[in-house]
Amino acid sequence: MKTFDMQTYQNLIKDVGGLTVENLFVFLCKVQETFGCVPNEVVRDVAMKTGFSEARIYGALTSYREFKVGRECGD
Amino acid sequence: MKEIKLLTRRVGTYEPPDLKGYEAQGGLVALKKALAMGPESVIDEIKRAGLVGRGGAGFPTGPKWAMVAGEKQGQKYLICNAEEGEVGTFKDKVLLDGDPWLVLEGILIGAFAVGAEKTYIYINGEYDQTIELWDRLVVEARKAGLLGDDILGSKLSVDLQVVKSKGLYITGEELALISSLEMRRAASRLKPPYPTEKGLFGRPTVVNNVETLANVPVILAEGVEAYRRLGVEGEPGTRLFSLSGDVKKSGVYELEIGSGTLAEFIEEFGGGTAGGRPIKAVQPGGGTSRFLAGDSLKCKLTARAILQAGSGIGTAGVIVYEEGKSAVDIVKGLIEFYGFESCGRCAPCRIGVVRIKEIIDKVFGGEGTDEDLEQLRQIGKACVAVSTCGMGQAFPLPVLSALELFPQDFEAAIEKVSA
Repeated sequence: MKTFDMQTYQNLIKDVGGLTVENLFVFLCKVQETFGCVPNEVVRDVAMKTGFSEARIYGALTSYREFKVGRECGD
Repeated sequence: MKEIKLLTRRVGTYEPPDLKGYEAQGGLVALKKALAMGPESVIDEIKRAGLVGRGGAGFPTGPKWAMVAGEKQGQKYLICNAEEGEVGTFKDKVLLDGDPWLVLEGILIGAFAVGAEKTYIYINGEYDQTIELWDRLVVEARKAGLLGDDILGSKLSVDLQVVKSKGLYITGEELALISSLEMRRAASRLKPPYPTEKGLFGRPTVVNNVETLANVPVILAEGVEAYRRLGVEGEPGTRLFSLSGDVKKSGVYELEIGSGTLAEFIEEFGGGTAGGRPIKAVQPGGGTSRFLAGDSLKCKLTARAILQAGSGIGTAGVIVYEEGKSAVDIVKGLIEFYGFESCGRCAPCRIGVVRIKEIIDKVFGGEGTDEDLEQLRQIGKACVAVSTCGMGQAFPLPVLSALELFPQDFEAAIEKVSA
C-alpha cells in the first residue's frame, strides 16, 4: 500500500482512460486499493471532474465496508 | 442420473486467459454467427430457446433483451451480475474461473443483441483470483480485437469494465448493484421502473446472471433444436447446481433439468449425508428458500416441481441439513447472516430482520413463549408481503417454513425453560 501522492493518482486516472460518471465507482475502488483509503482531496477532485456533489460521493463511500474515507485516512 | 457437460465442458481443458485454447474448442463460433444474423434474429433465437434467468428470479431472457433493444436512441448498458452472494451458491465461480471466454462471448452477444456499448461485470469481492483473471482477460480481449471498436471486423463496439464488488450481499440485487455503479449507497429501489426501462444512469439496462449469459453462446452454436432437446417442457437446457451443507461431497454439478429428483441428486452426487444420518431438511434454492423435507424431497429438479413441492429453485444452491440439528439452530445461523446484510432502505426488512433475529435468539436461549412464535409468523409474513426487494421478501421464508415443518423443534426450545 502506498501513501497518497498526486503523480500516482494522476496515473490511475490515465489508466482508466479519464474520469467519467460511468467509471467513477470503478476508479474509486482502484484508489482505495492503491492507497488504502480515499483521501478528501480525491473526493474533492472527482466531484469537480464528474459533477457529482461531494456529499453524494461521501454518502456512497461511507456505506460500503471496504472504503475508508476522512478521518480513517488521517485527513 | 448423470452429469451433462454443456456449459462446463471446457472447464479445466485450457488455461485461461488463453484464447487459442478456447477457439480450438469451438469458441467464438456463436459470436460470429450472431454478428452475421443481426440483433433481432439473435433475440428471436434466445426467445425460441426458452432461456430463463439463472440468477434466482427466473425471468425469461429473450423478452428482457427485447425490451431493452426496443429503445433505439442513446446509451444502453449490459451488466453481468457475478456478485453471487447467496448462501450456498458458488456455481458462477466455476464458469468465471474455468471458462471465462464463454462468459465474455455471452456478454458480447448480449451487448450486440440489445445494442449496449458499455458493459460491466460485477464480481464478488471475495473472488480475488477471479478478479485478477478477468483483469488479464480484458487486456487479452482488447489485444485480440474482441473488446473495443470494430469487433471481429464488424461495426460492433463494446467495452467491458470489471468491477470488484465491495462486500455487500445486497449488491447482488440488480437495482442495488446499479445504485452502487451510480455512486450511490447500495440499496434497492422501488420497482417499477424496471432496469429495462430506467436502469443505470436512467438508461435501459440489461442485468443478467453469469450462467444465463454462458447459455447464450451455447444456444447459438448448438442450435435451438439441439438445446431444447435437453430439459423438460417449459424448462429447456441444463442447470448448474451447487451442493453444500451436510453431504459427503459438496461441489458444483451440471445436470439436465428434470433428469432426477432432489433426493437422488443428494444421494448420487453428494454421496449421502456427512454423518450418515437421514436428511432432515433441504434448501433447494440458496439460503433464502423454503425448506423441503420428507416426501417433498422426491420432487424433480425443475423449477416447477420444486415450486409445487413448496419451495423455489432460486439460484439452485442446494443446502442439505441432516437429522440431529434443531431447526431453531439452523434458522438462527441464516438470520444472523441476513440481519447483517439488510440495506436499511425499507422499513419492513430493516426492522423485521432485527426483530426476527431477537426473537429467534430468545427462543434459542430457552426464554421463548408461544406468543413469540406467533409474532415470528406475523413479522415474517409482513416482511414477505411489503418489502421493496427480493431480499426482504425472501429472508423470512426459511423461518416461516421451519415453523411449519418443524414446530416440534421450536416447542422443544420453549419447553426447555418452562419444564
